[in-house]
Amino acid sequence: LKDAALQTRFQSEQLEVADSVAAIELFFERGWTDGLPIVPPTPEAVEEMLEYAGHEPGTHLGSVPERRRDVTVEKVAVNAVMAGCLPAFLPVVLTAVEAILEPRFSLVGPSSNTAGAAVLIVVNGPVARQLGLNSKDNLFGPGNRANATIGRAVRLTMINAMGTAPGVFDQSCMGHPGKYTYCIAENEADSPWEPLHVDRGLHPEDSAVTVYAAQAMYQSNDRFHSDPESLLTSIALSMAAVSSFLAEAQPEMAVVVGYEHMQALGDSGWTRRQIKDFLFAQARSDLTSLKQVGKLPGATEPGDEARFKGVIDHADDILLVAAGGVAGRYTDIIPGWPGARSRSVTRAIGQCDECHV
Amino acid sequence: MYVLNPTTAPTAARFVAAERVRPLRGARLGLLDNGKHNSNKLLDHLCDVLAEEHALSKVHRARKPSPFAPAPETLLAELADSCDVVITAVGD
Repeated sequence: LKDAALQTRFQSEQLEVADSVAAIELFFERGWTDGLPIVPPTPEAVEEMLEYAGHEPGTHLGSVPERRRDVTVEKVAVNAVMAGCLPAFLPVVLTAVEAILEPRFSLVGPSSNTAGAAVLIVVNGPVARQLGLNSKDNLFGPGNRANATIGRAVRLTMINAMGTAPGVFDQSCMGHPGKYTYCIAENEADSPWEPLHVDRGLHPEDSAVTVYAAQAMYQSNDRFHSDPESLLTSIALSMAAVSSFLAEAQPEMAVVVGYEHMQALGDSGWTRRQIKDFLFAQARSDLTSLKQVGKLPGATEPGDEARFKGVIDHADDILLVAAGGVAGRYTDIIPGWPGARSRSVTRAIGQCDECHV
Repeated sequence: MYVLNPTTAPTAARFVAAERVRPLRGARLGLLDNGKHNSNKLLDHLCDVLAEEHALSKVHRARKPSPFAPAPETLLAELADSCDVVITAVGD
């Protein structure tokens, strides 16, 4: 589009600045960043993104009714430019935004609550490979543009277009670094299991985004066990320990199995189903421990040490993801937002409303 | 050069506040607990003070199923039908 057309193309206010550095400073002054410099969202850059994705700026993506915010493609594209996204990343960002706006994700809880969850984004399918998303070394960063800027674009959209600015509706006590960016791909090529999005009802050839209201990740290192029972018992003990940091139980829990653990479990022939069932059965905390760490009220009573509470309610509340660096025997445990009213959402990229699960 | 404002303003609809109920003597009071811990303590205390000062005719207590979502329409309709005054509170 020519300059004149770009002036009327967007609903957003257009601000005149001397140059890019002035734009960066203006955005700092207005509180429109995550604390890092942004790429100036010029009408030309935003238009380039929209053209790539084939979207009209006014398309409505969803709402945050409690905060009276309606979210359009235009605002997501503006924030994606700011985050440093390439135009090719926009479909992933748009799908992640649509996913967190689904009522069952219940965005207001995890994004405002003192517990301070971030949005973990897991990308599956061909798009992850096409965009060069990292699923291996240094999984949670830094260093990869797609991972870093897709996660950041979702966060900037939350801050600017959904009222989730710190100190406004984001009342997190501690926060965590995943609130800058928190985006990974699954290592489908090396995984012994079907991909996460297939486990959740989509097809292998679909590209998909899974969003999960997530606390920080905790590395569980097991150097010695390779047989599945011993290794999974070790992971289940880590799940119970990590869970007890936050609450008496978890609505969901992500378990990101690193490469060497993945290989050991793959060699055993255990399926995704078997692994989730085993972890579900083994990940539990005794009532004495839960009372001692202040997750259950009251004094400890005789017998509490032999009474147990499961970390999760169902085996399918585990999001099992195969990803991580090729060296090192690690599995990451990522607890969810302890308020029970947020459920992870998997959504196919660039498809109809009926295609999400 | 030009840059686009990345923010979305709230779309708060204009509304007209309901007429204030004065005096409160004999009023039917609704208490809407927002679902957080301790909201009930704050509301109970307010209720005690109001009941002592205004001789309320009835107190209707309700609780949101979750502090993280708006009150269901049916709950709001029930309060509107059965109360002259409703107080909502958050406690934590």
